[in-house]
Amino acid sequence: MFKFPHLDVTAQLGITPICMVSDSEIWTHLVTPTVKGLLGPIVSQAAPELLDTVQGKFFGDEVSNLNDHRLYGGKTGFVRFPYSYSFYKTLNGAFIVKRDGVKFEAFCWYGDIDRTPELILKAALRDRRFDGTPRANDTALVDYPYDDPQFNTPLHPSLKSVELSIYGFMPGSRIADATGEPEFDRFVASPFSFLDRPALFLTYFKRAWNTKRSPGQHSAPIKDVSSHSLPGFERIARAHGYDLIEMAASHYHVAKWAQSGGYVFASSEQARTFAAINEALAAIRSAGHPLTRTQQSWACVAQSLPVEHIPADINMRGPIWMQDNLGQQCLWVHKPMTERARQALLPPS
Amino acid sequence: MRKFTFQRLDVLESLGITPLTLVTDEQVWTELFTPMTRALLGEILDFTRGTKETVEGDFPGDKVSNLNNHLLYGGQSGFVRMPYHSTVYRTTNGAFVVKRDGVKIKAFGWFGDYKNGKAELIFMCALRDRRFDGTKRANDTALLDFEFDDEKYNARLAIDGQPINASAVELSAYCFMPGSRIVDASGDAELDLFVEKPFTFLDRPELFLQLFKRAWETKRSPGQNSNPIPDVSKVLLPSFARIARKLGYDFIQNAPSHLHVALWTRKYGYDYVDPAQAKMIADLQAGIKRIKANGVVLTRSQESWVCVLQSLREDLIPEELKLHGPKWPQDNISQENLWMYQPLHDGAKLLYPKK
Repeated sequence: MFKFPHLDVTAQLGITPICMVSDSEIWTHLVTPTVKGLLGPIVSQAAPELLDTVQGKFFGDEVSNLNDHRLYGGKTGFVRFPYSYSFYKTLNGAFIVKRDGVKFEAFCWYGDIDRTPELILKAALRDRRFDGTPRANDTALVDYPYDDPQFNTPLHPSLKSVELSIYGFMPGSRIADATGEPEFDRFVASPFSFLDRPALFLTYFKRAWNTKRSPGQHSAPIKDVSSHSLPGFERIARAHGYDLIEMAASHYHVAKWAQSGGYVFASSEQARTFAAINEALAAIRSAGHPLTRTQQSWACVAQSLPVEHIPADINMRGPIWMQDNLGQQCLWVHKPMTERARQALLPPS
Repeated sequence: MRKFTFQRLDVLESLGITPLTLVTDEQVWTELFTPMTRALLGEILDFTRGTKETVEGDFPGDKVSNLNNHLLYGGQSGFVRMPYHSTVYRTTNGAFVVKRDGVKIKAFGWFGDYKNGKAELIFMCALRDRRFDGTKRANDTALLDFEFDDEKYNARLAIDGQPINASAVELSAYCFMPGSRIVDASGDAELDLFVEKPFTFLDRPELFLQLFKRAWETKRSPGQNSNPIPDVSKVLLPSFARIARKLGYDFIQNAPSHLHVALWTRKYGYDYVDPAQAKMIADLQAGIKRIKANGVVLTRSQESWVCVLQSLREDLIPEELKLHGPKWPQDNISQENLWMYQPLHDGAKLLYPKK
């Protein structure tokens, strides 16, 4: 007699364990004490909603439609997969959780939501099972595409893997707010997007060099985010049955942070490039150019300039930073959560 | 300040994953595919499966729908918004296919060489969660043949216009004895189409009447362009109800396309949702009784045809079959459906008391 095979229907339909992470877990483990202190206690909760438009509830609350789906006869402004939206009003702002089958994304907004609130924390975990296929871009909760099979294929076909992402911004510290210069703010936030204008890049680069901001930090980071978030993410990932936690490190200081948390590079080639960058940074310093940690990250970014524009004293003559957040090449780093993952990822003996 | 208590969010439910996803293929095969249907298909030999997002399925005739006309990936047609999972079980004489997404499970029995487009669809049964009915989202499942977004005709069970806090699932079933299609027996594709979908001929009243007269002499009821499989009507409704009850649904519903289908479900305790439609059916039945009392002998299939006939232009309706008013409410062209329901437990009876 025929034996019917088991079928995990919800998984087949793109519902992964990550969507089962509760708002309470997120608030408890990912929203740090400093952020909670800034937001103040939760005072009320709106009824959860299911949304299917790109437009959010207020400016800055938008989601994405990276595959350019045009629903209902060709209309723009919709997303393929609806996402649930939980809104909590806090004493000084709002805590918002968006989730669909493959991702949750939590936002902490500081200030009056109806006026001009500041995003001070964004924390997300995303199931990587569809990476390397167009379906990866179907979630409305991604800022970057992950469909390129060359750069974003999951590390191991049978390991359940989740990607973390985290951004913390101290309120009132945005470069644009402090300087009145939105372009400089954009440069610090996304320096690689200025590479097509090398002279302008260099102008801003020289200014950024003397700030306390690393590339990507158009606002000052919140201090306890770096110490709290990795353990919080890992705890959640482990509790929901993931084998592996990963992240794509946008800059040198992020990669170093991940390394200090026990993360290793997925690609041996990228690991070699990273080692070469480390050696080059050491050489620059031993040549008499002390570099702060932020300057180390900036030195890495500068290597992507046309060679004649790279300042001679920080020219590494070769290695280039691997992730520019423009193309799909990512610097994937990972940490096994289970023995199964550790065994599966052992280098061949 | 008091510590905030987070309320539980049913994530799966909010994302449109309903209890129907828990129905197994084995349940469908053993409880919904009748002994005769299983015997016709033969033994299951092996299977292929996968998640799909295109209207085209795994073999010729194996299509799904995109009723909201979503154009994905920069405006391309041929895709569906909500991916669905499909398993094709090869059987000795054909295939048993199960398709499912978050809100619906739909199974098909194909008799013959399905891989080369030479199979007959002999059985189709489905259960569909009605939570999105009356909204555009209802049409987003790729496993639909008809739209359900009209809030007037396809609203969920409601009292005084307010949907009741209850879950409901719609059943649907079609069965066709292999080799019995009208077109196969007569070579007359138009008559076949007329018997299958008579209301679509109402815009050509003379042709309707001509084909009606021929259908009248057959043993086929409207909708039956093939002969039904005999044990389906005996086995199916209790099985559907058992599965739905086990999943925790409060109500099971159907939208019968013709009188004989409505009477079949009535026999199993289904009631009409809309009192106005219930009165219409009562009027139709009273009219049929009058016709019979006048000496016209009507078979069960002819009773269903009489109901269809009332939608024809009044002057063309044969005098002895004229009911002077009541019309069959569901034509499978517009979204008006003849919704029926059955409570699945005692508590449900209280949620939606019989009118």
